[in-house]
Amino acid sequence: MFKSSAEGRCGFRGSFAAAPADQDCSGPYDGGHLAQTYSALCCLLVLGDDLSRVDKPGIVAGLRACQLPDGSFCAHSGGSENDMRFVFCAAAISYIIDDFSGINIDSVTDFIRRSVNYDGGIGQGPGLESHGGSTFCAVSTLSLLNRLWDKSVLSTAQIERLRRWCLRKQGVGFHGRANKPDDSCYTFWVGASLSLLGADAFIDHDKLREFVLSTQDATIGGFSKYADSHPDALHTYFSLAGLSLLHEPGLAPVFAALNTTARTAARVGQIRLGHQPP
Amino acid sequence: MTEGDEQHDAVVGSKLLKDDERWNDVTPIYHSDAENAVVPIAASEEFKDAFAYFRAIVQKDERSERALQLTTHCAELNSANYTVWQYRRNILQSLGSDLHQELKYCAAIIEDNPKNYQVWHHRRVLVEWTKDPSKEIDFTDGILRDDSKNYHAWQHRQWVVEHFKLWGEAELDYSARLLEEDQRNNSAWNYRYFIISNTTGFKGDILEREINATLALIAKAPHNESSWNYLSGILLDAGQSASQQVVEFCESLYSDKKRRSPYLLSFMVDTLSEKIDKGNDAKDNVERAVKLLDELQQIDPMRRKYWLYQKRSIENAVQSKIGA
Repeated sequence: MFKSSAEGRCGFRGSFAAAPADQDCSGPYDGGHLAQTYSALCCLLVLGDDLSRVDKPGIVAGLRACQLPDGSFCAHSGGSENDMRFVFCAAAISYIIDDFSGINIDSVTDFIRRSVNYDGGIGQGPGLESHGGSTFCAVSTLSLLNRLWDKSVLSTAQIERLRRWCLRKQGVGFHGRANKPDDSCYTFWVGASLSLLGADAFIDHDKLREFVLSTQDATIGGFSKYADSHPDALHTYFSLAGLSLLHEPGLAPVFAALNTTARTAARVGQIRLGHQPP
Repeated sequence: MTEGDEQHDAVVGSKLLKDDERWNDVTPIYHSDAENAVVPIAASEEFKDAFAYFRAIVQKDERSERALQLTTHCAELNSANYTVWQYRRNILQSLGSDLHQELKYCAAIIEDNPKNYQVWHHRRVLVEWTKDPSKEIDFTDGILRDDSKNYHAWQHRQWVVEHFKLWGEAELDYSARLLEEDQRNNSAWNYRYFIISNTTGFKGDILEREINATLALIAKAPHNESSWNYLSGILLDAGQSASQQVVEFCESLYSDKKRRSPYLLSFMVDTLSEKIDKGNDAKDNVERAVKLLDELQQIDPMRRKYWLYQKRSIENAVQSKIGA
């Protein structure tokens, strides 16, 4: 883990591509990345770690350095694209380390509000096309910030329009934008959004399940974006997570807002209360 | 180059840097034991070689021609490595490189990797530096010709238009042309909304024009979610019941059983809900809304539970009014 907190470059790296593994703070290109920090924290939770060795103030400074004037986040202090993906990473990271001081909440919720589109869905940013991925990122962020139901960001009418936008993304499986083909990973992106919005009961569960299972590779296993394609880790994970939300037997329950299992998400609370894992 | 070199290059595609005397002064940093211990990536010899030298040179933040070439090489091996692009940008600035040449190179990389975030970001930064948007519209046109819904292309185009204030008829015509080709292209509808909402807004003549155009397309394809979304979107402020033309159009479409799409019916329910909320002729409107929602459960069985929920929503609201 990258240690120096001075320049807002803290967090976890994805690899040591920009710095050798055996050195501390090295080089101007070495620094944390929001998506990697989120992933690393989730990995630690999955492994039962208590996060006591995590430099939380460093991470908070790293988040602060990544928030832009429009409220959104970029991925690292060296500069990158900015969109709803990193908004989610920032919220999830803050939730896991139980410290939201790295986020200007009014600013980020304003960004989300402005990203709600004319069709009721949410895009990667203001004016951008409504998309299942960005919709999940926005809804889960609001959930993690406890701003989903207080009408401070989304009115009741907007929540209803959002539910309908999501439900209309079901063809057989879910797709991510109107008139695009169904893709198994949206089983999670859209499915989880509906779950957080309290509208997952309105999904046609049987049809969705039928679609997801059709993307499974009969020879080597794993799930692909559609049937008769090539399975990959991403679609396999999101198909499983999506199936779990549909109460598929034999799968661990999922905590939609964090995109982890419920057991992993519970570790956050256990850490807060000082519980030891069994 | 000797014949041996050419053969060598032909076999491996490019000379390994460890065999290149121009890199003798640099000590490459290969993966440590720790890095090889867990889920190592099965990288090629060429990849390991290039990135070992990259890792070494990036520590020193060397800004040189050879470093620039190394980033070209590394970007080819992994165009998603954001550090490569970040370093490259710094080198370009230090060397005072020809950015228009770089834009050409960037265009080629994007054409090969049109869904890669890093290369689109690279292009955006270059355009921020040159302050020259002149190629961007044509460039995104090209990408969209191959994939009319490429999110990155649309995002770049929208950024260019907004940043350089390229609002105007040309962009409106562009969306119209795309919708003529395929009225189910949701990205084109979104773009149209983006242009108008940032210029004239949806009122007066403009709103009327957009309503007319949208109704014409709906008439051709009543089962298109995109056109209906646009219609309800542009009427959000004015209200769906405000336009007599729209109300009559819906009734007309409804009278043809074959053209009763779920979008039509839910649009009509929403119009009735608007009236109910305003207190207009509540009983008739409620009855009609409930009937339509029953019909929706039939014609859109996938969402039957949702339509039932909507029906109960209306019934409950009415009940509570009666009780009040």
